[in-house]
Amino acid sequence: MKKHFLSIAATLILVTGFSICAVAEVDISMSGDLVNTAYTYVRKVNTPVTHNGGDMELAGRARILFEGYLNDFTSLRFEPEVIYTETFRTGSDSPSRADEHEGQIHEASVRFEEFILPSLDFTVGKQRITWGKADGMNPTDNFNPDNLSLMMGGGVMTLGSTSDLMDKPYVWGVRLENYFDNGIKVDFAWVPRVAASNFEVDDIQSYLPFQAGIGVTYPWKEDGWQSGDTSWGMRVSSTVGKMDFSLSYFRGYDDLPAIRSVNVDYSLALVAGGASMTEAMTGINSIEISYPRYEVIGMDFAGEKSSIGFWGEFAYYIPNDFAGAVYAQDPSISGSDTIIPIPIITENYVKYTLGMDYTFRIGEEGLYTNLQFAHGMYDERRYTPESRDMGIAYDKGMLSNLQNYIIYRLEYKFDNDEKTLAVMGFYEHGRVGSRDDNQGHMFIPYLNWEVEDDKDLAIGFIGFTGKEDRSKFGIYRGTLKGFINYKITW
Amino acid sequence: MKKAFFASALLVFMFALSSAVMAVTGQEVLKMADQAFKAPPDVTAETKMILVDSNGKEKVRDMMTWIKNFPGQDKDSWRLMKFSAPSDVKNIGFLSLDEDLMYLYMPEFKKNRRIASHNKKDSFVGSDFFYDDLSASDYSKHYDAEIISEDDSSWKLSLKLRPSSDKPYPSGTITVDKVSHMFTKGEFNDSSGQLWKILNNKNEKYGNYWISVDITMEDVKKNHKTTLRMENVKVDTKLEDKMFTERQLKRPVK
Repeated sequence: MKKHFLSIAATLILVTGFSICAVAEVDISMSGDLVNTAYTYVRKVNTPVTHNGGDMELAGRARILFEGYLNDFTSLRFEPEVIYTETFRTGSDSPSRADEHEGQIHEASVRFEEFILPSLDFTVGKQRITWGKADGMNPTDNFNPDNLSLMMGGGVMTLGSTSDLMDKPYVWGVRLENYFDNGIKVDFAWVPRVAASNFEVDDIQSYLPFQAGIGVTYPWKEDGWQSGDTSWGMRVSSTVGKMDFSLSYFRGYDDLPAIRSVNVDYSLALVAGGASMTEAMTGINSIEISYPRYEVIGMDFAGEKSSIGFWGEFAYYIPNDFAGAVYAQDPSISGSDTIIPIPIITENYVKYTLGMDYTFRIGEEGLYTNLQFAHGMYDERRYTPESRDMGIAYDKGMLSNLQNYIIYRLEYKFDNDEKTLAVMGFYEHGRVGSRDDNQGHMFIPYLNWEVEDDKDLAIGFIGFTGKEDRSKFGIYRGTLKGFINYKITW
Repeated sequence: MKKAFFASALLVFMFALSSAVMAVTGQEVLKMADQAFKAPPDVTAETKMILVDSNGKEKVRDMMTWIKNFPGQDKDSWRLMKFSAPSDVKNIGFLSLDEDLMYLYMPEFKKNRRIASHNKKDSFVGSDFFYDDLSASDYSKHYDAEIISEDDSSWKLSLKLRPSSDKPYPSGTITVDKVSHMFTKGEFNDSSGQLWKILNNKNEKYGNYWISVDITMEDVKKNHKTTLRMENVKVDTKLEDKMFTERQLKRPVK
């Protein structure tokens, strides 16, 4: 129903837009791109899904962009897209093929420059609201949901920067940007209906620390969010000296769900005898999952020192009315009430990214080096020690407690920048001193060739190492996928 | 006879004195060239970037260029460039406000990205120009110049990079036109003293100002060259400061 509504709305916008353009004799330009990524499993892997060597995946995307100015101050962008994936299990004993196609509106926005005030720009429609100065790992950038398929080594790749691995789908919303004469910019954004990550419910369930068969309720699954579930935020930016600064405030919803409550049985007698809650747990009855609402107070900066670029981004998360709880009951005592609510998420926590880049000269060419340290990935939150001890929240892996990452990218361009030899990746490192426990690594070496101005071809592979079942990337340990990616722009 | 001798001696002395007074140093010529280049308060132009590889294959990119100079001030020029074609580079923007205050707008990410000055020795979108070549910083701030030859129409200067400077070219020569005081040719060497790049400028007069309307940078080692050709040039249109902001950098090209 939602998709039908969006399709009708998009068609109306398109028809109206083009009618206006036709009447006003406005030039609307049309361009587009086609990106295809083909993956091949080099060897057999068992986790999290078994693949044989030779199994293939194909992910593609086609977009058509209509854009133009309706008058001196009003511009229009409309970009529908078709996304498709196909999986060929050719390496298996019983070959199979599965495919999925989806059409949607990637972008549909109207931008009014100098709206009411000469200093004000107003954008309405489906858009990308970018906040933060870190390179792709932006804990203050919360309006658009996350596309985690890229980070997990799948989906359509558009190689070129770390941001490409952090692609975020666009959201319907409103954005006001006011540029004061003194260089201060004030940004306000409102998203009337928050959007979830593309991580499927079933995928999420498979990453939760519970056995199959336990009753899981998703209050949001059927209806999505309620109409009042909006996100909004403000941001103030300026340049002081030669340093760019921003302060931001966001109030909205996490695009990934968290455990809201867990009902467990436990034995009071065991607790009375000195056993821990974990030891006394006899079973989990049910789980409720929901999207936490939170406030995020952010700060970011960017500058350079001695030709080295640096940036930082800090986000202080304050979950609202969402600590989550474990409700423990003793079934051996008839009519016992919930007796011990244990909070799952801490009252507040900080995620941050610190980064730097530099180009080392190798002859006349340069080796571009980009390094970032991140505390907390998109899917991570700080869970209470009690919930982690009880096994209610994972200490590592997907949807886990906050972990540390080094995100790196090295690029060597040559042949008049037509060819790029690069490697980028994420090295996951848990708490200091526990390297052997939960380290994981995803790495993507590739060669990109700009065949012509509008044609790019890339070849490379995606590899995973680490502790199996003990880290986000380690779960894919042993996976080695070759890929060929091509992009045609017209 | 005696009077004639003194008169001749006086004339010779006066001539020698005037020559000494009139003679300019290489550094002064270089400064004049910087000033001439920055003389127009602002410039707006439609620019074609033409890249030609060793096989003669051409790539053409269109962009709009806005430049704001600060004549008489020790301040770097401001530059804004927005690509309009082909489609894979459309709306990419580059804003230079100082040698170490530059931004790049990548439309795919809808984000202005601060780029640090280590990038200044990198190629500007695959061309033979470095980011630094486009930041329009004064040569006289970074190079020591000496006149190595002179004729009726031009000075030829040798350039040597000062140890404190971090420009891409350690040395070279540059030719400055005596009428316009504009650069007409430059030859830049690599760190081993080998010829690396050749710059050719075609300058035209617009009102009271000379503008480099056709700038070709040739990479001799790669046998690759790039021409920046300005068309529909407008000078001194009182471009406002707000044209050179991140707001403008993000705006789509019209």
